Amino acid sequence: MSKICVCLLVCACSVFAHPHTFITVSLDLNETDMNVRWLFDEMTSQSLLEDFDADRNGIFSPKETETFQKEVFNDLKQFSFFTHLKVSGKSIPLKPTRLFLWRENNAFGVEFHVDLKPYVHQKKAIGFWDESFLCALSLEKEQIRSSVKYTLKEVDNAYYYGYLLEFL
Amino acid sequence: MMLSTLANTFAQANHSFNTAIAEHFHAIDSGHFQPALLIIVLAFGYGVVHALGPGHGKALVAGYLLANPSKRSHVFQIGFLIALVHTLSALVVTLCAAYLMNVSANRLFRDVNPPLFQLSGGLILLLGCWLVYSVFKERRIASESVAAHTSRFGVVMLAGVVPCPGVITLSFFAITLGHMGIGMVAAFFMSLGMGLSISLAGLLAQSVQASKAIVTQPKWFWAIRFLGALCVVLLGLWFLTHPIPQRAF
Repeated sequence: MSKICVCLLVCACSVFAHPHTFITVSLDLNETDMNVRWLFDEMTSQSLLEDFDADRNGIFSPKETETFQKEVFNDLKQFSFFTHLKVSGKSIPLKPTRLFLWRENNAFGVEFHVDLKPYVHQKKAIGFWDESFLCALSLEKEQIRSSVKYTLKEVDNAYYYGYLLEFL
Repeated sequence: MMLSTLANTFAQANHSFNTAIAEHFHAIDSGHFQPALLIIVLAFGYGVVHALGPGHGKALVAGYLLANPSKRSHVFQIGFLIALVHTLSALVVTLCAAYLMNVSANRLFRDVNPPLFQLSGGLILLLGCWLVYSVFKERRIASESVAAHTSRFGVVMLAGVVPCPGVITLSFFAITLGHMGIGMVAAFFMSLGMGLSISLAGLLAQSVQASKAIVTQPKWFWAIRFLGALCVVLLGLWFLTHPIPQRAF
């Protein structure tokens, strides 16, 4: 019977995903605005740089940024751009703007802006995770610059993990 | 322990291997032989932890082995062949992308993965239905000595045909740095590591099937076989009805 239990556990473990992309998240935060920055692991970065830094100059022109937005970034809408905003307990569809790409050594960076003005003085929480767990996100307090008080905690989401930032 | 804690541990292990391999690829340029050897060792370890996660055919193998009691040697054969096909499929995508289409492998993977995943799901469903029929037909056989099926090679193809994103990322990274040879060898060793994990999952299923409680109870023996076949059907149905979205990473 114990073998059957172990086998069932292994099968259950097989359901959750394994990441092959690793993203370090950093934030600039105030009551009305949030800038989210992603820095990719080197292997994924290499692939993204090959595809989107067409002229290989390490700087992303508006055209290169637009191509990235069309081919990669927009696909992430169904994953809420790995940034899950809740206002007064209600999920809010994210509408990121001001997409900016950069290269930092061998890493590929993405930055976007989220407008929080419509939700001023409301209870807000922002989750950072990829439900499919193909990407593993990491967010530490040292990577957050904020003029508002907040709490940050790791959260268990059944089969994947993430981070929850709550405004105080 | 929560599953997400386990997921976090796996993710960190994957990240560590990924980062270490990338660093050693840069060190090859220094002209030393040691980084190449380390890449191969790390690639094997990366394969082991990578295949401990979902996919890679473990659930399919477990279901198939519950439905079809197999010899231990066949379990390893299935595990390592799946990993090899999974890797070869990834290498085909990577090489086509890099040398024929002049795009990154991730870009091509984004396009080919969803249809391949669904095709694989449809075929797994067919295999599951055939297993259910086969187990039902053999319901009077009440011992471990069910004849070995050549259908295990079908399982290898179905589980392996979807390219491994981990191998794609690793081999494309090697190509862009001008170390295609080491990249191919590393991909091969990564597949050996994955083969080990898949085989161990298979061995677990096989040991359930061979346990005393099952072997000595004909009804249990048949029930477990039926459960295994049903698992394969459900897995195929799940893949077929839950198409994976198109995304680059």
